[in-house]
Amino acid sequence: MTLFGLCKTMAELTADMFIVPVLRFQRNIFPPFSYPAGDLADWFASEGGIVTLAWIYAVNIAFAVGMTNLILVIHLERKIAARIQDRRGPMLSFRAFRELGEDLAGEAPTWRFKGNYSGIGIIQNMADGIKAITKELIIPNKADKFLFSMGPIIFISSSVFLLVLFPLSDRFAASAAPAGLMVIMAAFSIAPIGVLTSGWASNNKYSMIGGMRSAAQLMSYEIPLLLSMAGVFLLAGSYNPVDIVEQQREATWLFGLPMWNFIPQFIGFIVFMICILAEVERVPFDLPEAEAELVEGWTTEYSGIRYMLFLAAEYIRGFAGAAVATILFLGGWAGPWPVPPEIWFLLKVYLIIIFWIFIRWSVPRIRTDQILELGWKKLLPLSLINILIVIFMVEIYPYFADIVSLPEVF
Amino acid sequence: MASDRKNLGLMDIFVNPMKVTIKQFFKSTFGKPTTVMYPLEKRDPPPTYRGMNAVIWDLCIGCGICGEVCPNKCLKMKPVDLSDEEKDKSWYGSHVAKKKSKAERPAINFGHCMFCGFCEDYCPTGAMTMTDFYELADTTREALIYPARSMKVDLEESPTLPLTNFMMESPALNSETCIGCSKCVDNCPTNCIIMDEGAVNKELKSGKVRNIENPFFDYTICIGCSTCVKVCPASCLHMEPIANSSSSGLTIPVPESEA
Amino acid sequence: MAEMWISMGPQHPMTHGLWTLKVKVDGETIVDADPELGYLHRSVEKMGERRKYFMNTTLTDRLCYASSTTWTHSYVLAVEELMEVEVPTRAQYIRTIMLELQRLASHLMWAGAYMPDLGHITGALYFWRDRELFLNLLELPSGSRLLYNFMRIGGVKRDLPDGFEEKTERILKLFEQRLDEYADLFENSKIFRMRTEDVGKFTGSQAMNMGITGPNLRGCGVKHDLRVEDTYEIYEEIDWDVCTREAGPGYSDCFSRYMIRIDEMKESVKIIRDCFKKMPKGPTMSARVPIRASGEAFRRTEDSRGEALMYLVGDGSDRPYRWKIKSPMFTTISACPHYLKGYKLADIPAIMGSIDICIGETDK
Repeated sequence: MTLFGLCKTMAELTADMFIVPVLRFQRNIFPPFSYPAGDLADWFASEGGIVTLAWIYAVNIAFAVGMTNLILVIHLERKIAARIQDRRGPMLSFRAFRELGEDLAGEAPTWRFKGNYSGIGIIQNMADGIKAITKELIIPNKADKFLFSMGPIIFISSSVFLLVLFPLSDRFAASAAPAGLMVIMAAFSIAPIGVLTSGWASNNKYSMIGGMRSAAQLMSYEIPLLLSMAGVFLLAGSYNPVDIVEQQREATWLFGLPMWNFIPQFIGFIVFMICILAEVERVPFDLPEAEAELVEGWTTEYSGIRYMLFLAAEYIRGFAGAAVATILFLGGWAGPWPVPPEIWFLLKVYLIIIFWIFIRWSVPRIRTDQILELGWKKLLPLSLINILIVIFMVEIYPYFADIVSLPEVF
Repeated sequence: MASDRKNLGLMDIFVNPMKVTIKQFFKSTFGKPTTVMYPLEKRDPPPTYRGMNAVIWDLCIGCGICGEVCPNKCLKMKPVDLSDEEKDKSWYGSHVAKKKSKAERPAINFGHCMFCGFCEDYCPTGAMTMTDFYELADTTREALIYPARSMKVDLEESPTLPLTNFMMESPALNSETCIGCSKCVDNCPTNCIIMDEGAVNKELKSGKVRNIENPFFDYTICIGCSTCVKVCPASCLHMEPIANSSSSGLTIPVPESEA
Repeated sequence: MAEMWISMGPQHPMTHGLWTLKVKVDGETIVDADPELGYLHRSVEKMGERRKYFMNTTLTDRLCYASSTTWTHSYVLAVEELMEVEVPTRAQYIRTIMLELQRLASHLMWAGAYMPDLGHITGALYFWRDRELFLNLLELPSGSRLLYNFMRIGGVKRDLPDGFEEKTERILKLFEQRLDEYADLFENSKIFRMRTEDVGKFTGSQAMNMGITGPNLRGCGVKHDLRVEDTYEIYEEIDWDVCTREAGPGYSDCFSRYMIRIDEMKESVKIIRDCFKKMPKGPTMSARVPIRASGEAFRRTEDSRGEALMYLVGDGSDRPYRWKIKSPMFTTISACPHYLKGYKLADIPAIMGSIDICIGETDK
């Protein structure tokens, strides 16, 4: 049973039991509206209507799963950062809600939880969300108002779009595009346009420099990123995540150990991990929003829920980036049997995210010229070397192996 | 000396720093973090902590040195009505003649106070103390003005701290202009002035000749508070560098009720 | 990209206080810079002329929020010279201990503030966590955590409390252990080195010409420390060395300025230990401290940031007639166009952070 199959069953059930009867009933009761309602009812009864409905369900489920993960990732980041820094992190958010309730009810706030405060900080995200929504949305006087509003829309929508693009397993997938990874990378590359737009429209020098840095970073990192992915595509012969994971599941190494892509293409893996870190703009590559010199860079002028959504979108991008790395190099959802593949996938994704969190709180930020130098002078040649290795594995070695009957290694 | 810098490899980008952070992560996960959950837990201030002021009224003699040394002038002496019990218990009541109908006690505007601790240090009897209470924030400015009576604490509650400072000057008389009004005697908080330095005949400004007494200062009791200088109507008193009793510290008498 | 002026400050994370740095950038490269000071001017000198001598220690405490005791100490030294007061030996030892504890706290404050400039929040919290240890120590005798008001004309406020030496020794041991641990986080971290090496360079002679003193000068390899050269308190009786660092022959960069402060912290630990070893018993306050003074006095001390100069004129009353403070950071910040030009925009926090700005003392 795949996610889409499940959604289709649900769509059939809802269409049969609810939507079509209601629309038909409407047609009978209100004759003036009979034509569109009846037409809709017929459409929902047909295959096309049910498939559309199933898509809507599937996308919503994938979106909900992604959003749940987003909350978990943010909480994880906060807690791990706090532990690294010898702090406690969010501890009393439940407490705060209770205080708010008591305040609204007109009671005097009381401190009641004495002793054990652990485990009630997880709804801190909700408290932050409420705070952000209640804040004023400020648009600077001399800003380009249309582009100022468009920037967040481009950035956030392209980021949220990412959530439904990658499959959690071969059965849990909202989208099964044959060129899936290309679509994901295309969606990834939309966001810097939003960054550039917001940076320029803010009419602020800091924001503009942040936007320019984002563009420069995009230019220097997209190329090695895609080149390092090319090796994986060559090996799998497909852009489809399902095919790529299947190829890794079947490939074996010494003693029958699984040979996920990060073993033969170690150089590509390193290049990809650095580039995806730059792509999702996390420390040490968060130049566009360097708070020390650029005062949060391109987000300087944004406030309230827009700023909050920027932050959330960055975590979504981080999650999506980790998912892409898992699919490409860590064998996706492949793993021993008793654990379901979706859990395997999420485990690997969270492993990468935790690694990133540790990196983020361990190192300073790199300078602009150094990041460009790294991208153009180091990562680009390395990714080309990686492609050469893969070509040797896929084309040259089997060719000679056929001639001189070498053992089949790859 | 660029050569003494260690050359770093590629792996040092994240391996070295992450050694420290991962160690700290496990340390604070399985141990207790350094931070304190402030409103719920509080760290204990040391006994010397300079928090909100409190005045032990039983020891206060109303000399006003605390107001003198306050750099921000946030401490003022305010007249208060002492109850009979307070009069009996107080040092002022038992050891100094009850000349004044009204005693003076310090009142503090904490909006101006910077908790420098001079008032505590210079207090000759150890009546001015600083408690370890620091949550003084309030919603209005007026709420930060603490009247004299709200500063009162009992002797048992606050420990007295040793003196560290003293006023190095004492009053001196210019006997030529003294008019013998004995205001200084009335206002002296330690009762160190007596009008007995021989009656002399003196011609006043009005031309009359009067037989008047001059004040005599007992510097073994004087604390150098300069109250007499302030109240002198003829400006015949001034402060001079004369050692007085406060340089060795006044002995704090035990209230009679306990003795 | 065309050249443009960017105004950093008065409210900007880079400033560590209130001042404006106007930089002219060509793309990301700094072409010109123009510092503007004076936002935090509180006319401390003039206020001091209206207060009695002993009251001014509260003002000097507030000159620098990171290093208040050292400033109070240099004022107190000047007043003691003016009034010709002898300070008891034990008080001098206690003063030295407090000064070095304050230097440790100040350098840790600087290190903590420097790390977010480079985008390293964890470093800030680590260093500030250690600063808390020393604030706890400073709080024990003085009763306050930031503005100690501990130095008095003619001595110190009170003797060290019981068990102070053991507590200090315990904390120093923990601190030394942690400093060694942090070497991996900073000195041996490649990205930290990439950000700080070969950035903000100036030579020792340039530094002397520009009036840069203190650790910034010793970071160029110049062995100049007022604790030795114009010695005060009991520094000459203590076993310690002036430490220097160099980035190359005769010049400093951000990394050498970072390392010199780490070295100085280790040196301060040594001084404190030696002070405890040699400290005699006795009074902590001079028996005779006048209230009035006349004449003039001039003292200079080695503050945590450089040379602190105090000049006092007394006219026989109980208040100073004229009081002049010269802060080391004023000259150092004023010289910033010389060592900012040619570097990238992202280097500004790295360079300005590395010279240890304190605007409180700069603007007075």
